[in-house]
Amino acid sequence: MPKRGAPPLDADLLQGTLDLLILQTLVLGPAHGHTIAYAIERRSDEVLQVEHGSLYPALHRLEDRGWIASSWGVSENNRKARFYRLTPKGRKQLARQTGRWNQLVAAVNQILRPAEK
Amino acid sequence: MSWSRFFHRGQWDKERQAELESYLQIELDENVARGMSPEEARRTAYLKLGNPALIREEIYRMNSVGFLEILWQDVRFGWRMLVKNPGFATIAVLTLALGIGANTAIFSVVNATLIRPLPYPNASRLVMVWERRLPDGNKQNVTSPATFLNWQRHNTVFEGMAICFNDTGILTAGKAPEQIAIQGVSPNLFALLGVNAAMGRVFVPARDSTHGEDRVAILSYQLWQRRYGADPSILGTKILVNDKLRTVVGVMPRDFQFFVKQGSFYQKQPEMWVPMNLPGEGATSDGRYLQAIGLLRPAVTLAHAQGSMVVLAEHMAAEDPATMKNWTANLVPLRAQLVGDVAPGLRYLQVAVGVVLLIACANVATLFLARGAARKHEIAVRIAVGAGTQRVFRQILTESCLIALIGAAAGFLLAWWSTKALLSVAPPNLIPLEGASMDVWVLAFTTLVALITGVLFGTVPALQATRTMPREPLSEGIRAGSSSLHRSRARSAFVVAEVVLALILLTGAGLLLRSLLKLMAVDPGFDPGNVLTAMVQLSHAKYQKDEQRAQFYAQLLDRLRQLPSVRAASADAYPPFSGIIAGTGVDVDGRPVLPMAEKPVVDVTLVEPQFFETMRIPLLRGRTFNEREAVEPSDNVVISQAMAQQLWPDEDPIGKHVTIYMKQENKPSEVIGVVADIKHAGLDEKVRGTAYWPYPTLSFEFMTIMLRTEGDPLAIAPAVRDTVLSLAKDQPIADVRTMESLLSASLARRRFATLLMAAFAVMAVLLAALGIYGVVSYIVEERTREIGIRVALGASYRSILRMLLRQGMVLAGLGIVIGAVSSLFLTGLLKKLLFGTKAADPATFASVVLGLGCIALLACYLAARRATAVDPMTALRME
Repeated sequence: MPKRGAPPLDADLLQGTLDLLILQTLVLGPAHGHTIAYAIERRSDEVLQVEHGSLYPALHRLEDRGWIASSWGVSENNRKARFYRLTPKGRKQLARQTGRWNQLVAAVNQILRPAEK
Repeated sequence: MSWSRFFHRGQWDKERQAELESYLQIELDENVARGMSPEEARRTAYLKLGNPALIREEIYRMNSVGFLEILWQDVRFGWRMLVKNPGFATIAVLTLALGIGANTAIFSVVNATLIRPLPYPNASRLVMVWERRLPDGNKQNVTSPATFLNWQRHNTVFEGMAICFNDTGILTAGKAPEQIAIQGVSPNLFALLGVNAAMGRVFVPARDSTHGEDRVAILSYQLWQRRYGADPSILGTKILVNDKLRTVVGVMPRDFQFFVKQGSFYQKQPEMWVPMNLPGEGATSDGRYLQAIGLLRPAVTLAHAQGSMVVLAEHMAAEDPATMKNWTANLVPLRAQLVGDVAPGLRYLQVAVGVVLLIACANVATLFLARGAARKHEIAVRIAVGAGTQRVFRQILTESCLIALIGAAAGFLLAWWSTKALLSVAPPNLIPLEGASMDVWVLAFTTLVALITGVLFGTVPALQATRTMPREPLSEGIRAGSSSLHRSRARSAFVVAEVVLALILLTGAGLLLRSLLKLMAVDPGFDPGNVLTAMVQLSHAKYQKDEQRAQFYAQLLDRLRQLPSVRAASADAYPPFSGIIAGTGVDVDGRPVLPMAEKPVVDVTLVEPQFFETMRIPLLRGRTFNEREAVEPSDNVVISQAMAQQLWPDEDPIGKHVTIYMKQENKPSEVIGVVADIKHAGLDEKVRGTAYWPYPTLSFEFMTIMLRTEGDPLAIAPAVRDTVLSLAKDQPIADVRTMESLLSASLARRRFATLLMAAFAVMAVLLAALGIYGVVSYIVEERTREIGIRVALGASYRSILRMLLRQGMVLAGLGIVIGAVSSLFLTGLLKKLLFGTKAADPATFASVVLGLGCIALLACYLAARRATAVDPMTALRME
């Protein structure tokens, strides 16, 4: 099991990136898969170009962990769609993951900055 | 992942399909709104989403990779790893098989004696009811008819009470005459136990309570097989028991037995049951010879019953102080009664064998650690490509449990075989109940032990493995450096622990062994070598008069003395080590006569002339009995030194008179001799004052003849039998044994337990030595390069050997010191089992510490010697 305290840069974190983005998107309110996919694409200035399909296993995983919950509803243009919303557990997780992400970014920046100069 | 999802993954898949459909529909709508043609809109939507089938498949897999499937994957992977590494697997499995097997074997005995319910439906409510002599006399004394009837009439806690008396009797007619164990029982005993006959019926109070009229008998299954050829028509036939006819009314089931050794006149499992009815009136309270059994009322607790019976006993003592003062009641649950003398020993053995398993675990854990080092690469790769640390942890734990389970399977077989072997060499009656056997509980125990074992020895190596950071081993090359520090620290801790545990076990076994040796060196007070004993019981019908019996025994001894290899012959009513002797109160003439309950108590037996000469018990003062006193009643008595001390501490007892209360009418006896004490009740028992009366004083119907022979005593057994038959046709002899075998049987249980304890200690030491060897070998292997450099720089192999020995011995020494200190505290627990040995016996501690130290040194040396094989050039070129 990983040592607690300073989390190392491990495989789990990379996989967690997509999760983080999904959770972040749902902070604004419930949304269905199509909306989430476009939101992520837009908000990352289309840097993170992924097949929208890969979103669904991630949604499933998050729901499995109890970070998000889902129910069927009707979309803006009257189509049946599955809506996802953030659970309190998911909200906590988001805060934690964001913290870790920031740490990582800071660490990477520190390494990269001298090289740029 | 939840179970409901696992079982509903079909439905889940449909939901996901609908969800993806919905995405496509929305995207399609938007594409059409952007002005695409329907076909193009659909194509673009699919492109955006990716392959729906693949996505569904991924989610489906997420749902199905549940606990069980991961487990199954891990098991298969673990199995492949084991097969790839057969040497490692074999050593680990064998070590565990040994540990688990030994545990299973002992547990099967514990299960049979302490856990499995007794074979009586009412077992949990059955208690033995004893009289207890206050303040510190016998706690489990047999009771008298009068006391029993009082209990039966006035108690408020028992649903019913029964009695039994373990007697012996003679079977004649048909085959050769035979003396067998017969249990006289109150007719309600079988109903109380809740058992029925296999054939025919058990006794029924209403039918079998008449006195002497309707003589009936029930046979044991074994007697029915042996003497009556399993003849089904036995029911209703008449057999001759003690020269009186009895009708067989039943045969008990094969596994039925009811025998409480404590207080039994004849110490053998009964083979026949006859009804015994107490006279309603005129029963006395003096002669105590009955075992009483009570069936508690359903809601009554043992403590309540005990309290209530003590109150009843106080009432009885107040009514009849002459005989009942200082006597109270003592209740013992039947199971405790039956297993009482083996339970503590068994518990110690179970603990000891558990410790052996712990050591085995530590050993396997160090093996795993060593292999973990070798697998660092593999695990690093797995973590690098995305395996979660938890997953790796779980996988390694699965592997260790797998090994433990294989070890357990092997151990179970080993236990099955070894229990059989053990019981075949064990002394008979080692276990007071039905023999140990493998049942579901034992299997469950073994499985549980295996899983605990797997987790125990798997956790530390698994933690070590997952602590590995991928980049470390991957960038370092095969030879490990810094991260092995944790590993070797863990290994060292394991080895120290092993040595500690082994030393504790060794100390325990050493103390027990020393006790046994001390006990075997105890002088019984007579010479047991070359003495044959045989019981000769006369039938009451044939020898009704006292003189007839006295004549018979005198003539028999006369003839036996003429046998060529017999040096001396005599007889004793209660021979030493037979487990029983009469005891009674005495009054010294000229001193105030005390009430029965306050008189000094001595043991009493009857002997024939030449008894003390035959047994080689030294005569200290006066004389022993002559031939005339063997047939003519006299008022003489020979007493033991302890009795002389007890009654006449400052006087010469010869010529003094003492009244020994064994009959209705008691006359004083004159002390004619004082003999040395013997250990009648056992080598570890206290010597008690004993009065030896000549045979005619009580003229019992049974005597045990004692023959001192030249050469093997058993060799003359046939001649003894012939002599008896030549004197009286149809006269059987029983219990033909040597005095030495009686002596050795009295130690058998202790010897056996000590032997097992020693075996476990040896196992523990071997495993610990293996552990030390392993850790030093590992150091050698890890430091091959360093050793190479040192040698290249001019270090001698001697100095390297010394360095390695020092490293190994620091661990062993640490273990020995901790172990010795812990033993000092722990061996106090063994106090009850020790004899003539202190729990902190310095000699035992010294030899154990020294012995284990030498073995540790040898193990270190054997492992370190491999360092001298290191060729500096090869070692340096390795990197």
